[in-house]
Amino acid sequence: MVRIKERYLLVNILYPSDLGTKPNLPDLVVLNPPTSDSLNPQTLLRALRAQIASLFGDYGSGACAGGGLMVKYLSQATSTFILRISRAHFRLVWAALTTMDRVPVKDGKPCTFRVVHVSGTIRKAEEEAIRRARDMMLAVKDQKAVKGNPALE
Amino acid sequence: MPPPPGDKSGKSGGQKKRLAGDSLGPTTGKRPKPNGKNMGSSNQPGQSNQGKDGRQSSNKSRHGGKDAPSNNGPEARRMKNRAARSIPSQRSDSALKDGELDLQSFVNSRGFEVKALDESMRRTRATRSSRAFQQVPYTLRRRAAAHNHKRVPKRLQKRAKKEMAADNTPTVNAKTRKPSSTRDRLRSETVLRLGKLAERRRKQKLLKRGNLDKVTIETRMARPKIRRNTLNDPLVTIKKFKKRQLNKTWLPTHLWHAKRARLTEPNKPLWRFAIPITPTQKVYRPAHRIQWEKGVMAWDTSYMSTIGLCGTPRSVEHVLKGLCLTQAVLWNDKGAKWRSGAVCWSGTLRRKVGAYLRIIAPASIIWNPESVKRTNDSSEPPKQLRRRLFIRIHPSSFLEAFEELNRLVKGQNPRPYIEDLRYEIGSIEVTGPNSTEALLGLLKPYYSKTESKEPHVAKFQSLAGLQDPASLPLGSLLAFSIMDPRLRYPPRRTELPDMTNQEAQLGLLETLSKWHQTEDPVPFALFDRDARFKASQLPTQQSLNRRRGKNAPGVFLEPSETDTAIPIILTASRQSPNAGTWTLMMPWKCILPLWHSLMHFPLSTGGNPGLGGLNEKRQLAFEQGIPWFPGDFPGTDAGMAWELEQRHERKKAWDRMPKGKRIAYEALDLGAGRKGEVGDGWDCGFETLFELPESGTDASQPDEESNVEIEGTEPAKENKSTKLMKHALTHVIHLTKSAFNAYVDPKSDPFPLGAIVTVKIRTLSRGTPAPCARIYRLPTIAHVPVSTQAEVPATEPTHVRDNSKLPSDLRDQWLAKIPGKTNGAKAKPPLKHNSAVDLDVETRKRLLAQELIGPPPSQPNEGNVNGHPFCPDAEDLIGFVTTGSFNLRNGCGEGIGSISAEMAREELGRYKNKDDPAARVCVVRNAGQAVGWVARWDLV
Repeated sequence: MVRIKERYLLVNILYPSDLGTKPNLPDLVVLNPPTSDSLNPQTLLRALRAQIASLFGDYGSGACAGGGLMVKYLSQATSTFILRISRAHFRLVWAALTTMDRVPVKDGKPCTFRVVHVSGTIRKAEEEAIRRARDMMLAVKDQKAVKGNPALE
Repeated sequence: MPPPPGDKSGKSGGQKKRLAGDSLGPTTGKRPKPNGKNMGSSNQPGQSNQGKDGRQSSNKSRHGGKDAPSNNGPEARRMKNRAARSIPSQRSDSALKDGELDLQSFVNSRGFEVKALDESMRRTRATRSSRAFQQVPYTLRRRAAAHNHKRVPKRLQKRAKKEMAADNTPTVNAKTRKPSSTRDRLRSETVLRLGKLAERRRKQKLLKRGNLDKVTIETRMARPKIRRNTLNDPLVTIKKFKKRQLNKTWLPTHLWHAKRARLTEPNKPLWRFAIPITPTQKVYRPAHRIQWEKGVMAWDTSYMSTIGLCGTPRSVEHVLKGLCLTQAVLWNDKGAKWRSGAVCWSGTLRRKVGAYLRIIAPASIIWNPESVKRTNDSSEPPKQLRRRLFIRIHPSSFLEAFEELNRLVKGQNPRPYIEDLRYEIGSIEVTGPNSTEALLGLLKPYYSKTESKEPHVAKFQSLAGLQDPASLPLGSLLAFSIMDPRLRYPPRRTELPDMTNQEAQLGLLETLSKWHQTEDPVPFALFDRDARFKASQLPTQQSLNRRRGKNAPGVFLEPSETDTAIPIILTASRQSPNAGTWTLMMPWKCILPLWHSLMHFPLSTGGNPGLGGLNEKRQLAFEQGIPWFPGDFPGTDAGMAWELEQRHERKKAWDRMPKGKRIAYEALDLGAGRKGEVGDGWDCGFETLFELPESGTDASQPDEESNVEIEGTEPAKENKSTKLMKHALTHVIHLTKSAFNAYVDPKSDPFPLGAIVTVKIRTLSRGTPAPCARIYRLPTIAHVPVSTQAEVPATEPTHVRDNSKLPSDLRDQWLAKIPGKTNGAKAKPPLKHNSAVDLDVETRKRLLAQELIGPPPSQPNEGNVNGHPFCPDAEDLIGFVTTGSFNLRNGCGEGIGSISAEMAREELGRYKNKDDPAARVCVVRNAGQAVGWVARWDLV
């Protein structure tokens, strides 16, 4: 079918530097704390664009200019967001996410952006997010399973 | 300075960040609520204690809309969609408890996310993103349905109208439309002028009528002239469109088909008719299903030509014998049934050309039964009893047959005469498992009283429950009169006997077995010119409507005196088992009303009959494995014309392609140093196969000028035929299977040069033959005599190739390609040689050394073509595929082609044992490809 081809990236923000600071909590919870509320779609996009521009120059900033890059969903409570980008350029965004190491707000905490799923429709990205959230809930409830769950490691 | 999200102080910063117009979980198209508690509070009981406004925000809040317009415009719709697509999410503090990480909050925030995403998915699904016309099933889609709400089904019209208004879809009103082009303007002006003219004429007529007295004399309409022994003028189907029918004839259903099918191009008619090529809707697979599973497919085959022959029995017999109906079966006692008119004969007509017989075309012949009372026209002397018969023949060879008949007729005394009944008698062909049911529901006998009932009516009606017309005895024929199908319009479903019932089955079987027993045929009304003419005087639709208006709703009309009987002849053909076809012949002008009823007939298996075009006819013939006339008969005049036309088309298509994208036939690498395609890639080059003399002009590329001429006057047509006569293909002679079998004995006469015979080809492993594919026999063994060699007669020529680079074991390589148990062992050794997996180190070393000191690695296409054996040489070429495709019926590639009769006899003689795996094995290679596929041919 003739239509604009897109990719949806499901991204988690992880805080590996926090690991070990809270011994009474499971690692999974420590690794996935909520993100600062000052991170909103606009700041995230601005930071991403800047990173892409620094990595890929004018080519990169052209690729995600205009409505090319879009935040479809951003939940600070679960540190999860979904990005939409044209299919041709999703690797640029992925690379930029990989090289970003701080939450793009003032005095942002060190973090890691982990692209956990790439799909052609938002539905599949949502389904994956649901699956992961469910798994996480179960894993936290059943703390023993945390270590052994490969999907969450 | 916002602290890290995990911090307690982050809470206050986050709270104030709330944007105006936050929308939360807008479940419907309603304006989002300003206070968004609906989602979070219901989902998260644990959070309710700290659930303050603004904890949860939507990503799309900036679009949340100040105040959405209340109307249903595009802006509102866009807003609605935006709202439906936004996913609610939570701020960071919902995952914290007093600014600290907490297990319960962590789980709750995940739970909220799951709910929110799930809800979002459900909402977007419910939001209608498709328009009404997109929801219409495939078969009900209509052109321009996006711009005209009346083109969608009734139940969707209201919605479509609303959507169009909402979307501001531009619509066109035919009445107020401005002509866009010069041609449009001219056309509209002409329409205006014609309208005025008609108005004036109508007024004059009224004036005249007022002056005249009452009409006292009623005249009958002039009966159309049917000239004897000459061609008749073509019929103009609709007078209004006379200009469009100058160089062709429209079928009676032309207007109906023009809206639903692709017809031949206006200035390129086929056989001087505008013939439907294929329906507009996709039909390839449906056609296959209709033929073999359920349903009905119908063709308006009124283009088929009927020739009437009338004369004394002896002279008629001589004429028919002149057309090579010389089989003894036809003229002795066995053929009495045919001659009495009870049975229809189908076969090929041939004519003598020099020393051999040339096929004209397949045809069917129906005799008119003698009247029992022997009441002839008073003008005829009673002893000169005349017999009439119809010859139904394909239009492509009509002229040839007509001329031949004319010649034969002239040599008889008393001289019989022939009539050109092309535009007198039309026909419809119906096929499919439900075809009998549809005909039973449509063809209602005209004479209902028992004393006047025609004998064939009861026979016809006893066929209820019959699935396949091919299960009727060979040449079954029914002739009776039906009433106007419009009297019983709309047709109703036929009452069918329960076929699971043993008795009903037995009854049907008994009917079939007794089919020919009760025979006392009476003359068929269709042969009677007056009956045909009377039947053509159908009452107008208006008068029928008026009569229907007087009846109660849903009551069928009863035939009155004005409704005449329509004579029909119904024949069942069984060219292949399980796929018979009904052929319904009736007066030309009665085709249309029946066609309308047929197309609206409700079948017991659901749906209505489908329409077919020429392509579907070819497809079904191919699936049945029978050759299609004229395409698969290149050795006839009509087939040659078809082949030359196809060549021209293919050449044109090839020329149109850019050089880099088309197949470079001259550069084709067939391996073993052979370059270039054998003959031309777009030809079934039988003339090159036999090295026939190329004489005359290049007829394969008829210029535009001659094309126009062809359709014009008679002399131009002769021009064409003489031009074709010069082509080398004219020397190709088609042999029927029976004619070939007469020659098969090796001691019999040699075949005439250029004799071909039609075969069916089925690939044994993979591969799909396409039209123009080359058929090779397996290369003959040159050197060592093999055990089978003993059976080979001494006369068999051995082909010893001196300069050929082909491997000597090419034959075995090809035989190894035949799948099956016997060849499994043969196929393995070359494979094993290549794989050195289970060899020890020493052997592997030795093999490597051998490889290194051996000849250098082979060039591409040197030892084989990508792992396939080489194609045999051009001297092993035996024929060409004329129709080839994947056969949905058999699930493999198949083709219908023609091969040299001489080579076919050689091949048949070589293998005395019919089950020999190598018997009738050939290699089929598509034109322009180097890879061949192993296949087996069978005579058809």
